[in-house]
Amino acid sequence: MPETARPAEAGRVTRGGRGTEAGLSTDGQLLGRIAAGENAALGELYDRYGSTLLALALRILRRKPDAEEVLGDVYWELWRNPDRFDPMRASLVGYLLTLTRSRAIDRVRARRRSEEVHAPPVETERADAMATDPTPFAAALHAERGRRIRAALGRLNADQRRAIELAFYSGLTHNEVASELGQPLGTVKSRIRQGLIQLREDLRSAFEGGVGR
Amino acid sequence: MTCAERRDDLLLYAAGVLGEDERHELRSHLDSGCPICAGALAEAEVVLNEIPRALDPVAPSPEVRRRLLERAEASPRALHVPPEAETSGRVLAGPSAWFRPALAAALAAAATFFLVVLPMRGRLEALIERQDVRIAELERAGAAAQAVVDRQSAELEQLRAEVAVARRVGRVQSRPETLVVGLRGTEVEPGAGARIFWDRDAGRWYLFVSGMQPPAPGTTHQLWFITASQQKVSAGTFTVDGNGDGSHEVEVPQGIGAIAMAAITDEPAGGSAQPTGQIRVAGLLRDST
Repeated sequence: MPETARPAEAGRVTRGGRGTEAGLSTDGQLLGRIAAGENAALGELYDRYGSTLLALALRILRRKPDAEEVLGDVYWELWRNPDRFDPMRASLVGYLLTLTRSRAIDRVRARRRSEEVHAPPVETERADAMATDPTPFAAALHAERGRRIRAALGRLNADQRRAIELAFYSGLTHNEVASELGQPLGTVKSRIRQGLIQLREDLRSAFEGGVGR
Repeated sequence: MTCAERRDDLLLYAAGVLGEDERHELRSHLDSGCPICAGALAEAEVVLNEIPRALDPVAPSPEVRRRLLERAEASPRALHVPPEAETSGRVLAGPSAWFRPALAAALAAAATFFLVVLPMRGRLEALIERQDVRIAELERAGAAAQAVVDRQSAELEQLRAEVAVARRVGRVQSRPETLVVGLRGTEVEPGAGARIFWDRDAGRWYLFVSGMQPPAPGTTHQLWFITASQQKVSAGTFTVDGNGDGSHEVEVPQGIGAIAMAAITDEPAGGSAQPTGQIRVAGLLRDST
């Protein structure tokens, strides 16, 4: 039976990005104001996604001062070069997440070269965690989105999840992940590939309206 | 390697874990402008950007925000002054400063004309004639080269248009307003498949097919809107490449009513008003209003 489905990730508010609830600017509007040099808009966008981006940077760098430096760099880059964001390629938050991951991985690789050791286990920062979403509805959507991706990751087998997390958060190549896990390269490549394919299909089901789930 | 096979590799490409050779191969293919793979890359990036959403948000220290905004306040983006403005500014500032040197230069030019250029006129005319012949030869060669450039430009424009469609699809794919419809090959063409992204705000369908046999000579593939009352309305004709991949974009007619099904048939070249061939690929639309 062919599928017909509807992405439903953010209910009715995500067209044009976050913030179409009463009184809030969309991401696109904020970007326009940033391009016009309005630093209040930069602050608003920072409040909107700063805690999400910091969680990613912290997961990769494992040191909060380093992660906060990356966070500042990412927003600074957006401030200096807002035209580098291509709305045809990604959402604004997607662009910021990509930039954050890239900057954090660059830094962790540089650190690895200088220290020649791997970073210690993640410092849990949940005590700091708090929702910075501008409205309860936005916070609920954010939480639902997080729940769905956690559920999708939870449905991977442990080996796949471990390999994907190492590759995604550590900036290690295939070869380095294989070495870290003590597994043959072919096995690791296969785990990452199969895990990402499963994640893609799982997330598509979730975003297309939950066919069968 | 087909585009369907590349779709999975593009996940690894977007995750940045491919080796150099594999990455280079995919980059070259993407640079060739393949719209199917551009769409698959956009899809992969959407998937990967979801992974960090599983993390609990972490509040940054207040100093980070303060430092950022102070820095932005102190360093607004530089405004570029057009060089023309600078030049005109100098001119307006001091007309008398350049007048005398300009007059001297004009007098020198006139002297050169009478003393040097006029005696050389005959030789120059002969030289100009030879140059005219040479220019005519170059123009003929240039016309041939221009034809090649025009052809390549047209192909490039076509590829750019296809990439633009794929990017739009990648973008609309994550919107709640977008319907994604899977189509499958019937017993006539079981290896074929297709996917329609229905941008309901813009009222457009973006069709991507894979694994379809190219149409026989004198025929074309034709897409159909099939309504709940079994009306068949043409959604345009298209073709596929040697790998069986193709794409098509069409506006959904206003007032067509609820669409129950999308189907692809083979029809005589130019398309038919009503389907005459067997349905090769089809999919049901559960939510078409």
